[in-house]
Amino acid sequence: MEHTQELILQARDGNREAFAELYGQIYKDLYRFAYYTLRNAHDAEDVVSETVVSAYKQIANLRQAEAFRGWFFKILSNQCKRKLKEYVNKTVEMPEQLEAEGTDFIEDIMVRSAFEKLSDEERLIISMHLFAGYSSQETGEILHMSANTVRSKESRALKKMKNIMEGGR
Amino acid sequence: MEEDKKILDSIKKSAESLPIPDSLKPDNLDNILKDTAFAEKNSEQDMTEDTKMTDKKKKITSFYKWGGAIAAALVLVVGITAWVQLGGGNNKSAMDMTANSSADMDTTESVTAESEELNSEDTQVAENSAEVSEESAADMTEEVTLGGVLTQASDYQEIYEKYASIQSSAGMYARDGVVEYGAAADGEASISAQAETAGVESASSQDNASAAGSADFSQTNIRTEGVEEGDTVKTDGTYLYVLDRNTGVRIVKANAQESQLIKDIPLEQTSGYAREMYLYEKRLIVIVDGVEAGIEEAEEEDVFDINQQQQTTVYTYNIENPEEPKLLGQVSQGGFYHTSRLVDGYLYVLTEDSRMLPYAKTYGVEDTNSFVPSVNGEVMAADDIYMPNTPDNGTYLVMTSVKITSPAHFIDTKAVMAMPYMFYVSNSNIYVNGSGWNQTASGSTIVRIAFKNGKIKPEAAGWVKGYLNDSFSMDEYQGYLRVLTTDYVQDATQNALYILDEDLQVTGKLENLAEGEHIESARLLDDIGYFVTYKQTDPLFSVDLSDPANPAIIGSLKVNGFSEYLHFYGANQLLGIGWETNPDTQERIGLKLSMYDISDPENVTEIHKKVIEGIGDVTALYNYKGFLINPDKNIIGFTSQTWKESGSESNYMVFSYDKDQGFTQNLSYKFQAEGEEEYMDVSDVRGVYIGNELYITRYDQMEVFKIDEDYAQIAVFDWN
Repeated sequence: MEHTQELILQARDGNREAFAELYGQIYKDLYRFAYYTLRNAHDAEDVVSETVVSAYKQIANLRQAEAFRGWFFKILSNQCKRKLKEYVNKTVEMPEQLEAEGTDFIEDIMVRSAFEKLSDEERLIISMHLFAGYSSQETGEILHMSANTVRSKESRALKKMKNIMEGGR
Repeated sequence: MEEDKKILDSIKKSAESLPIPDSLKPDNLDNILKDTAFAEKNSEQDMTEDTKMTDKKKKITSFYKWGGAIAAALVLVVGITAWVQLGGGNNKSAMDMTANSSADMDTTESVTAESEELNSEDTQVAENSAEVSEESAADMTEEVTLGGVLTQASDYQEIYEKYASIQSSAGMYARDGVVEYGAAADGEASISAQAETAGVESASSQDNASAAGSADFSQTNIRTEGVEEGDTVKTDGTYLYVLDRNTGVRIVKANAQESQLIKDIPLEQTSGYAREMYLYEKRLIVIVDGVEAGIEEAEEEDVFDINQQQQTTVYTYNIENPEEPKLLGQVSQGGFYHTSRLVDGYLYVLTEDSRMLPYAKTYGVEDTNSFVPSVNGEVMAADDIYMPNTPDNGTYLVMTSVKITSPAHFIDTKAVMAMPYMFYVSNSNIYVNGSGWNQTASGSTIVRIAFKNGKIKPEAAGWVKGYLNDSFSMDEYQGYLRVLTTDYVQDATQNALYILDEDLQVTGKLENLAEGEHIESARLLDDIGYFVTYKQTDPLFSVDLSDPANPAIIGSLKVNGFSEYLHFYGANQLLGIGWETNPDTQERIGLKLSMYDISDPENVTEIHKKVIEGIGDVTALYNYKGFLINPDKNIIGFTSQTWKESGSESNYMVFSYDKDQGFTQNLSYKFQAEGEEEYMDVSDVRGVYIGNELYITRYDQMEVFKIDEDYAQIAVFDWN
């Protein structure tokens, strides 16, 4: 934690290596967040790089070191929300099934496939929980709902996924 | 909750095998940033931040002493349902249930023989002067105590001390690392207005019948006749009002193929999120959630908007001439919007507001904004606040009333220090089901708040074992509240029915019902109630509620699958909408419509059913307002989702019912274009009929069908 603080101080002064190291701590989760929310690898990549650029421009204004991760994800989730709005007005190609690296990749593909069937809001809520690490209160503030509502919607979304994965359609 | 965690884990695990593109790896950062100049600290951005701070300062002075640290720490204040369930917090002894509420408001038919007659000192109630001694902090004797559970505050010092006593570390969720969520009760208890599963009592009420246009038009599917509810689409038989949550309201002249968009009313606040609308006489009411008006949420600058005040605002428009709506007034209250009701020309708005725990302790009792909610930018009076003996968290349920004909100010405002979870509103009472205070066993608290002609008064508080499935698990009749609960005891579940009196004390009960099952749906009406449990056998139970001291199960019908929603459909018939399942594997086969003959409650039979295979979800099951059901018009409409290979198919389906033929599917309109399977969120879709036309509305689109021509589609409109 102290090391991170040190890095942030340096990054704020323009030290690009420090910024790169901070980014290295979270970049995988950033991509996972974007991919799971947008269901599209190409757009996820775009949105994450846009976020990196945006964050780099603003990091001088980040005052609290502890808020780094949440702050970064805030920018990312806003980018994703914007992207989702764009999708409403155009046909989006279905995400390609990427080659997986793990051993249980069939189950992973199944899980991802069920996840894709959730609504935009449901995917955002779960991504914020798992990849951004937000509390339900934080998620609620970003999505205009109370913490309780966030938890309730997440629970329902997970039950929906369970139904889908159990073949109950 | 366990199952939820398992699925979350599997999602997380599935993400681990997702390959990250090389272009995003840290060693490629230079490439990403190649054209980006580093912005120095003393840039314009800083200036804008300071200006914003000053603006906010004008409204709430002490708020911004705290600086950016709050942004990070504030977010640690969350609901602690799970914590309470584990019996955490102060382990006081079982609640003292001695009721001591003095009712001083007129209630209507809910008054029983014994209940104290209300005097007509309504105005005094509104000022709260008779009830509470504001003068001395020491004099507590005149406080109203509700069931030993809630106490009306007499001054800010008392509230401050109670607030500051909340264990700030308990129930907070770690920010990094494992994030524990308090689970919604397994019975899918839901909070937001959208998530309530409820149904309609009556055929369409004609409260809003307009002079022009057809008098035969559908209304919002509401729970209690005479108690209007907000929705995303409203009609007066001539015009359709359609809510586009991020944009505003569209006013459409409904005229079959000749329909036209005649006006767009933009949202009054830039970062607002519209929730619901009401039509009342010649007024349009729009309820909007958002951060404090006047502060823009610039996309790039919103690093610190976590500490902005969440507000819910009610805008009232004059729509005598729908082409020129006029804003008549607006009022706002702190917090996230939960729900509202419109009764006799008064709108009652309920929000959930979190205050600044744990910072309230640091800043002292003078900083009332940190521990007391505000309405219209002003901190509420101390005697408007009701507190439990041991509050679990810093959340308030804020309740206000507005007279529609004078929409620029509140008639009454009250707040209860409680985490609101679910609501049921009868003609004269708001019942709030919430997380527990003061208990070692798991259960639900219920608070009864009486309302009439704009006056709001918390009057009783009680507790029952177990959890409520949805708002239909509560029903009031002749002053008694009937409550259905499911209790999770280790691995088993038990269900119960409790009958509570006006003081929310148990007068009669049935316990240990349908062990191993949980309640999926309920419909209680006057003397008889019906409820469904699942899983294993899914009986539809009939219960005799005529004697408050002795409720009795008088019948049970075993069927496959289960109904998640029950709706009375004509004389002696009960419609059930739910799922058909394979009796051996419990696997879902599809959607099931059931019609039950309830002419003899002791011998209910399922006279017809219709199963539509392949359907995976019906959003209206989470929000009863999504149902269009009218037995007189013989129409049953709702949207459904069918999961496909890589997406889904969303349909609006319409059915009718005949005693001999059973159910007939009259329409299944697919929203996606031919060959497309893009997932579509259809939770805001409504089917509205005016005369012989059915209008299927989304926020930006509308299709029109001719009901008397076999639901032939006659038009499609795109408002984009």
